[in-house]
Amino acid sequence: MLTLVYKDLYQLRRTMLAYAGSGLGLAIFFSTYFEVGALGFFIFAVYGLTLRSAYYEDKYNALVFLRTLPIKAESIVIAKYATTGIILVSAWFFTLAVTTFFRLTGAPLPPDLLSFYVGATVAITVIVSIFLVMFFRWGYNLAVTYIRFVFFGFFLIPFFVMRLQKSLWLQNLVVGFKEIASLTIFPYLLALATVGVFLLSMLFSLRVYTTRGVN
Amino acid sequence: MFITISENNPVPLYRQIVEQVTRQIILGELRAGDPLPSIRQLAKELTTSVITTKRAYQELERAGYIYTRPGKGSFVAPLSPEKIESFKREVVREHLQQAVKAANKVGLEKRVIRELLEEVMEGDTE
Amino acid sequence: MNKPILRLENVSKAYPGFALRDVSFELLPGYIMGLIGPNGAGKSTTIKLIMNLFPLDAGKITVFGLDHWEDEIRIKQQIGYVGEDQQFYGEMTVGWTVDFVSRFYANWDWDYCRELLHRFGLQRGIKVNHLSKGMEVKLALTLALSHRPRLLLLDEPTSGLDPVVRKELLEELLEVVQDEARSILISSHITDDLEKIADYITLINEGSIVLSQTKDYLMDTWKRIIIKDRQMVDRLKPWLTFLEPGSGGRVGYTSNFLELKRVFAPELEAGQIVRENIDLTDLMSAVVKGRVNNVDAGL
Repeated sequence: MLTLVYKDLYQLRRTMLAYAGSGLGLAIFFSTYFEVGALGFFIFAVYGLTLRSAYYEDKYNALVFLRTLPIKAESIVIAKYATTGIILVSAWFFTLAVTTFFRLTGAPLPPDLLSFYVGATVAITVIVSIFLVMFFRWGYNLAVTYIRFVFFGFFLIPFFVMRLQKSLWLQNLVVGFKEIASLTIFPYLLALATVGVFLLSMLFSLRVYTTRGVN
Repeated sequence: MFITISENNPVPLYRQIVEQVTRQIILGELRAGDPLPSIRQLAKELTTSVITTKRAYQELERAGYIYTRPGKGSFVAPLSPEKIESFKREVVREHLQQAVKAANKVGLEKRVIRELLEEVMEGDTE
Repeated sequence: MNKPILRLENVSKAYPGFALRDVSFELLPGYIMGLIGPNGAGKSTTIKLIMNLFPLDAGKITVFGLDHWEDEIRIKQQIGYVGEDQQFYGEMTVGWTVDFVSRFYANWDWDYCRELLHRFGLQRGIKVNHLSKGMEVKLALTLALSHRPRLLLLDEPTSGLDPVVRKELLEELLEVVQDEARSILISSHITDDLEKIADYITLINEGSIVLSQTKDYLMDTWKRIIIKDRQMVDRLKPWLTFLEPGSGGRVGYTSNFLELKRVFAPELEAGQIVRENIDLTDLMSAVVKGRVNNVDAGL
């Protein structure tokens, strides 16, 4: 299973470098404005890397190849999730590190921004979890269609809404968030829920991939 | 042991092997106690099926030309000169039978057949 | 050593538009079996089912005495598989691919692997994308052979290879079965290759097994019969499973030559009937093109 994870990461090495480089570049260019943009960057990086990893499997029908080797179908699924987990965590830390670094000159991260980070992490984890289930159940094409729809559709909407309503909507959201987020156990619940969704989707994928067969 | 087989030959492959091995034994090219390649090795050399070589060896063993020691392989059987002589006769008799058959088919008389035989034998000694 | 290395019992699998029905056959250790049949007959599907690439609808597959579903990984450790299409990661190099695959097998023979790579002319630094079809197959073969598998499953391995390479490949395969414990199952619709080296032939058509026999037996019992004497046509009709179209019933194939030889010995002798050997391609055509006179082509 680890071999598969190494393989995934090795295949993604150039893409990861590209994202890291552009992330750094954006941060330098936009400096303190980067904070909000960093969110977008984080989400986009995870989206891009997960997609690319799945793409490599699909392009060469490599999952079939893997199934001809003495590898359990379960291992293939778990490895993919492990890779995605690593992508999530490293992207998260990278973005945080870059933002913090640029903020060393200024004040610590405001709670609003932090809650946005949290929100974004949860959102992208859920989106990617569903993507993986779809990938294992219906294949790459359908999964990609879904994630593109969600991504551009979903994230575009608030921008338009914001444009129309100025910052009212955003402020309401922030207020709402703050209220829930003020509960002390909230961060732990959220973390648990996020991890829970991730793992649940892995169980789904396991079930679906081991009974379906490859074509 | 040098054998060639051909699919174009109407004689079945295993028979071709039997005939060639037999010939070599009779002519003394293969001597008593000489080891033969394993059925698998032979199959590989001739690019043919193991079942074919197996059958050939079984025939050869049945006819008394070779013997097999489990785990050791197959070897040329010791043949007494009388046996060799009778095998030689058998081979030539078969050929002659073919010739006579062919002659009968075209309707040659016995006398003519004998004449032809003399001619051929004379021709050979020249 | 008489337990079959591979055994299929009543294997069935249905797809929209195609179904594999009641497929059963066995392969003993030390032998090569050719799985032949026209395109779309089910050869590939059969092999993919053995590899558990998709689940069976019914039936049982036993490999090395183990159930192919329960002990899948144990079995795959000892199977070398070459599929119709190679699905390697294109951007990776030959060297990377070999290293990657080797990690999954307990029995990897690096010396043999290097020898094969050398013999096949595969260079480690080349990207898989840049390999020709023939080279890809050679790579697949190297990977399949390098862990010294007990069973080789080859699905149309020679299509796309030039004759020289095909010959090399066949020689390598014959080398494999020098070890009596190892077997090979090759599926091909190019029967020339199998003609020579196959020990057993299993013919599959439209999802069902038509026959499974030693090749020698098939070649002995299946002959092309040419009826020179018109009066014999009716007498011979019940013996012929297939009549060549346009011959007016005078040229056909029999699946029972051993009997026919006895019954019609005088006619054969007299030349009223002539028999000719056929090759696997002819056999396949005869079987596939159908039955005539309800004479059973199955043996």
